[in-house]
Amino acid sequence: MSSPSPSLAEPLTDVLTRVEIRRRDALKLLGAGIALAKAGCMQAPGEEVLPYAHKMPELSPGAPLWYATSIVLDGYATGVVVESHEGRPTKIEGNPAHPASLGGTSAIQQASILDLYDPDRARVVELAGMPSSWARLAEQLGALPPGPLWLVLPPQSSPLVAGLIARIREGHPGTRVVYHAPLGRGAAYRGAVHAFGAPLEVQLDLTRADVVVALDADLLGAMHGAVRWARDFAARRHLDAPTDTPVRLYAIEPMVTPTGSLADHRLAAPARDVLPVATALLSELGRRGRPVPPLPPVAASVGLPPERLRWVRAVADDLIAHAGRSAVVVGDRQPAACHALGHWINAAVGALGATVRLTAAALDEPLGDATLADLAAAARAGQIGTAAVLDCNPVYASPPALAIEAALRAVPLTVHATPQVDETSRACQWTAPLAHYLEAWGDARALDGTVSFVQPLIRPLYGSPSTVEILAALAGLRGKTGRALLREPWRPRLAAAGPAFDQAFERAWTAALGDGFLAGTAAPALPATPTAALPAALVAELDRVLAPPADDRLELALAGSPAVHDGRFADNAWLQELPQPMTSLTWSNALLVSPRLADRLDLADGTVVRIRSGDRTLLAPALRVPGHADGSVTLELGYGRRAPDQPIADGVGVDGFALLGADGALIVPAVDLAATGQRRRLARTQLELDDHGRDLALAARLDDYRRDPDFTREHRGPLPSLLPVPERTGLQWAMTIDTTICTGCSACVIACQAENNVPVVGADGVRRGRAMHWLRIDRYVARERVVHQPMLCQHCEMAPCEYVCPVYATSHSPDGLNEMTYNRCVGTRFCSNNCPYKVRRFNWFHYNRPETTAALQHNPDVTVRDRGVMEKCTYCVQRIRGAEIQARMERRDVRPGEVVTACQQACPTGAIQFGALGHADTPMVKWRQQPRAYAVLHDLGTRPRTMYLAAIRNPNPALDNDEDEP
Amino acid sequence: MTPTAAADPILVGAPTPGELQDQLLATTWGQGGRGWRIAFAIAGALTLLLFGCIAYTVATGIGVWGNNVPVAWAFGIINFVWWIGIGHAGTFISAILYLLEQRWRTSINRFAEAMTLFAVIQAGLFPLLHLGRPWFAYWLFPYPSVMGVWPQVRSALPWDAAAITTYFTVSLLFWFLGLVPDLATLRDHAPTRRRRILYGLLALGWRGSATAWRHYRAAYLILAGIATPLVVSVHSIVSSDFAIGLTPGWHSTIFPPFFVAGAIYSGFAMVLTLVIPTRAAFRLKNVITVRHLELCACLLLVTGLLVAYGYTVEYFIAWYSGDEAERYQFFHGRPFGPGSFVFWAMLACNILTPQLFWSRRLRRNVRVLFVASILINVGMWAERFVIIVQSLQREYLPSGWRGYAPTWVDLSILAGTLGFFSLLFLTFLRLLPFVAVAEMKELRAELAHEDAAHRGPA
Amino acid sequence: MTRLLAEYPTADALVGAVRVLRDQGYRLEAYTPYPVPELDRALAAPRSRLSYAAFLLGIFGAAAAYGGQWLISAYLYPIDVGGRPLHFPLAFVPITFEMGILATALGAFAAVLVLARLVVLWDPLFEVDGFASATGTGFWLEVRAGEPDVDADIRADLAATDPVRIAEAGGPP
Repeated sequence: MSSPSPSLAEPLTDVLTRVEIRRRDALKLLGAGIALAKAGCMQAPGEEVLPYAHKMPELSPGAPLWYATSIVLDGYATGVVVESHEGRPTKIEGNPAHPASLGGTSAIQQASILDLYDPDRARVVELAGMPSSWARLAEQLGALPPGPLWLVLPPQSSPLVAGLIARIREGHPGTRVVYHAPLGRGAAYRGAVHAFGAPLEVQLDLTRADVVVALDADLLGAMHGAVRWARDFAARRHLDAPTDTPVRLYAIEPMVTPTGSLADHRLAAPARDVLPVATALLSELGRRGRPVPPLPPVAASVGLPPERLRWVRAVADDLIAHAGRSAVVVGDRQPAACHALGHWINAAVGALGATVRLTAAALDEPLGDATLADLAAAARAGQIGTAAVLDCNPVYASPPALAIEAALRAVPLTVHATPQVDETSRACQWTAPLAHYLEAWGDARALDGTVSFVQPLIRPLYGSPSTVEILAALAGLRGKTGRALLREPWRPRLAAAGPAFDQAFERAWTAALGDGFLAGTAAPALPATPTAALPAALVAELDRVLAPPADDRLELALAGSPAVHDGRFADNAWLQELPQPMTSLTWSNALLVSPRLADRLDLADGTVVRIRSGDRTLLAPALRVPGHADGSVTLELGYGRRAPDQPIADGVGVDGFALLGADGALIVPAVDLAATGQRRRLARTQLELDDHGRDLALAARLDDYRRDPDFTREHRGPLPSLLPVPERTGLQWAMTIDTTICTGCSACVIACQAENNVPVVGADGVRRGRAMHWLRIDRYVARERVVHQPMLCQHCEMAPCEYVCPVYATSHSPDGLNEMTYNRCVGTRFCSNNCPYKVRRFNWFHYNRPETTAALQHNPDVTVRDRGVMEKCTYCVQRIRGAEIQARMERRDVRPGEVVTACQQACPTGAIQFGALGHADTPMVKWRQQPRAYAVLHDLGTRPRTMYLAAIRNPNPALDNDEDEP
Repeated sequence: MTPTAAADPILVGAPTPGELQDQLLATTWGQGGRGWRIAFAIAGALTLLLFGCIAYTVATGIGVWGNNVPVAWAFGIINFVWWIGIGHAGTFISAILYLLEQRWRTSINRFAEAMTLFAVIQAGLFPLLHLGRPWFAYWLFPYPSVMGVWPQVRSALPWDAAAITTYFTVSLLFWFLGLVPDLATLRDHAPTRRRRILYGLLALGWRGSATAWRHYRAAYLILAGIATPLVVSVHSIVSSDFAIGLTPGWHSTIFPPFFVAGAIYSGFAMVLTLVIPTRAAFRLKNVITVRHLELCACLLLVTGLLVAYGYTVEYFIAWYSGDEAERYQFFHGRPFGPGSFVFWAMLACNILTPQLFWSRRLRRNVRVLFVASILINVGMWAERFVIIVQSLQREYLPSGWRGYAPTWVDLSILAGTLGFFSLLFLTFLRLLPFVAVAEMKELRAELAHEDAAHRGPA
Repeated sequence: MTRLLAEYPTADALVGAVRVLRDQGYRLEAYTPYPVPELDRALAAPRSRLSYAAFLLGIFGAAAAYGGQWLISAYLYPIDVGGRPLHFPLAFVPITFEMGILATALGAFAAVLVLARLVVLWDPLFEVDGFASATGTGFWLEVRAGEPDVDADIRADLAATDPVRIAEAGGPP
């Protein structure tokens, strides 16, 4: 902790009295906390919040309510619907009406509920480590010391925030704002400036795409908008019959992403080689007579290796063949030049206005105002009076060269508003606990510009202010609640002036909060076409970046973590224990290397490697990833936190930011690797990626599928049996999963965990093979082709787990569910041994810890399991029974599609379908009647109720000739 | 009947009944030697360790063991099967050899039956201990519960419960019935009043009347008669804990006979391990003669070959089934997968060791026998490790493949049961005649008769 | 009535004495440290019927076990486990067998206690000097006399079989 600067020195007595006050408050707080934990519910927010319009039943005890709100990450809003039990939010679902969600969610969004109840949250306003109060901080913010005010906060798309910042600038001339996002999209906007002269936003319409080319772009996984895009992509990728022609996907990337894993043609290449490929692609298009601007001479110097050139040519032909129905997507971490060329490519293939629309950017000041570097310089020069760092952690998530911590210490008054006390808090004098989004009012825009509202579901557990309220205090608006602040600007916008204005506004306000967003506020498409000639700035940039590297040194590609993003979710136990797509690594990041490179450097999984980039070095454990590019190594950011107040995050993994260059570019051109003697035991859930030639996750190329649609015949249909086949009548529940469109994003895994009170076991637990996930995603990699296979209880009709249980703890329900009776289980674990799918999970210890606030997240409809009992996927039986009760009350049958499992609801692509076999016209039933349907380990005769659809790939014949069966 | 005349005697010299009785009872009257006391102290310490670990496991959770998913069964069940197997030799000797009128059984059957009891006690610990919630173990028995829920008897585990209970009860009755006449002898020759009362109570007032002997022999015959199928059934049922499962390496019809052979194999090994030091320590080489040891060695050879046959058939079926999971299990997982050294140790100990006994010289070499018997015990433990742990490590879905490593608790509990077993056994040696006195007298009389018959015509 | 006892040095001597005295029509009982087969023939004792008791109990045990399994699996609480039949004879075999064995064993043991008149704490014989050898190295014969006045004759007849000693015990307890 920094000592308070002289200006803040005060008599000790004051501090003591304040401590007294705080202690009393703390006691109250404690009391409240206990009351909450006891009652399992808490007082409704004092202010009126409105339930989700379409799902609102009357509030009756035991019946949950759903409220619409929005999750904002790096400035982009996603509409969600939050389940609340007696005022206690327990589960996040996508808002089906919201354009950024369409009902789907990401793993991070699913897990964000846990942060609300995180026991490690900051609870008290502190000054120099001494407890203070929000009132005193507000006071302080109202009277700033001389010198300009600098704000550091995440990118913003909120009209409300924009307004407040404007007012702050009026009040404090010379105010600078740093929009800090280590995984920001500045390059994309600068690329748009190159092409269109303005920082426009790319809006993809994948529902109309036949060919998609992803240039280092994880458009189905990590990118903002991926949730929506995945849904659109899946709509074009899923086949109902062999005659369908699914969208074809090309990808070039270093590390295998969900997008790359689905690609029909994936070119594994270092991230720095993407721009040359884009350049070549553009010139190939020009050679084929498409309208392209003249390229600078340097472009000609780009010499691609033959197999890449072949790839580029095939892609060019395919793009032209599907002109107007094809699109090229460029990844956020690529340089602006690459984004710019992407725009020209899209223009050349007629994508603009068709599959790609350009709109005004959702963010305010997309190109930013000031940068962290400016802040550091100004601070050292003593030109900053106050620095307010809101809801971000620049000390950790910034290039070490900037020395942000030292810079902040040089500022007379520093305030850090943060959900948890982290690295930056230690560098600031004031630390204010920040409200969770489920405790706060606000607004934001979705990627497509749709205005979305953030409304609280619960009064702040620790009385924390929200970003908006802190900005308001800086703007001199004291004593205004977040709600008041939000309503004020929207009054004129929501209703026309007139006699009945108030009623009209209230009606509109009610509707808006009910929906969670304002329909029709998406940014209009602009008739944008890129300039005829490349602007000088771009040419200059191309000259700079296209120059071939001096030597073939390894590239380090830094990437956001699919779990902890840029580190802001590192204290979330669910995300830490989420098996990462492709590596199934938990509780750490690792230096991801290709097997060939690993062999060359003699690296085994877990071998600690010294990574050196210039004068910066970092020790990281290596991990082989089949399909990773040879010339590149990947390290995910967000780990290696140094935050003692975040015990879950602290010291887990290694800090990739340590290798970040001063420019903050995520592609570090040249690093050296040296294996050290040490070895680290990585905690992975799946150790074997090879299917050993067993037909477990079936896949076929489209033409083979058409030639022989019945290729899964041996994996379905009746089998001879000595035992009588059980006859079960009534609704029979079942699930169908299409592996063609499963991206492995793992949102379902967290959704299941949140819905079913699945505990975490920690890194050691995972190492010992005791992970508790009811739903895992198996991956099999054959010839660098990945098939994701969500694996959960198959609810076998002839369940082998059941007949070996000596006490009837697991048995079959009349409606075909394989049920666990936890209270009856004595824990022989025979069922687990006899489960060929290994989907049963055992409570080796007393994992469930009711005494922490995290227990408040528990779903009251699901039993919390005790030590020593077996558990597993139940097909979300609580939802089934809920629907049945509802139906009985309404004197009707359960409707088709009425029961939705948590995994199905979360899945962005809709790859998981659930329902009753009797409901013939639901996708679940139609899908399993397709010829490509199959059951895993069918020949064992367990008659699983969960069926899969084989992964169908749509390779380009021009590139396909040298490929063998996937 | 073995041609005892040809081979060396099963009772050296011609002691008078009096001498024989004094010699056999001496072990109960005499003070335990220094060696006995040291052994007792060590066994006691290990027993304490055992119960300490049990308390720790129950208090903390079964997670303190090394088990995981997929290897949900490990040391617990290995030890269970191993100890049960050891028990089998006792019943085999006392029942089957009795029916076959193998006289040489007489001087070691009491001893072997005691070994059975104590081994089954060790085995009985584990079905309870390995549970996630041991305090509910009684749910495996059909007690009238308020919920009206009963055990699920299609599972092999209630079969186990029934088999183990029966096996322990019958062994106990058999052992005790055999003891009654000797207890009477002890009663009538006890040096102190306290012992007189103790043994008097245990003897149930046995007087040795001709009528009593008649019924006694009938009962003994019946017990022997039913113990014979019982001993075969028990390990068959234990084997069905695995055979009814569909895990590759478990789902096999050879298991019952294969397990029974293995059980008797390990049992005789344990008999030798115990009898060799005991006969030396208590100077009973004239009663438990080299011939006894040699015959045990022969049985080791036979059962060892049966076990080897079992391995061969397992491999043949794995290949013949064409099932890729089975094939992988046997041709990759076990010989080369994690923990493969245990597999090779198993082959070495169980297949190679008994081959020594083709040689009569080695069969009669006490040192060789002792070392071999220990090797075979190790080998049979390794076999159970291979069957249980290695099978579970490599199942149908490669995504679920994972290795296994025991924790210090696993190892302590294994050592602890060895200690507890020794503790019980050492106590038995000092408290009761571990060679059946009455039967030895009978045997001596028969032998005397035969000698007379042989000499008669000469 | 009185019970006259005589001890013999060997089993053969005892058997010889038994043969002689039976011809003279005495009711005899013998006590030996180990079973002597010839003795049963000499005493013309009937075969033990203990086995019937054991057999019946065994059958009963097995039947009860099977019935019980049917009762709890198919009748009292029929639960669908893995689609297996509720009444599953194959799976009921092991417990049926084990319970049959258990019942037989318990039956045999109980029967021997009753028929051999065991579980007695005291018997007049224990008061006889030297009778302890009956469980050691001695072989004893008991003659039950009907009338006290023929006592002398019995003693004479016993003495004629030259026993080691002759003793007298009280009536049966």
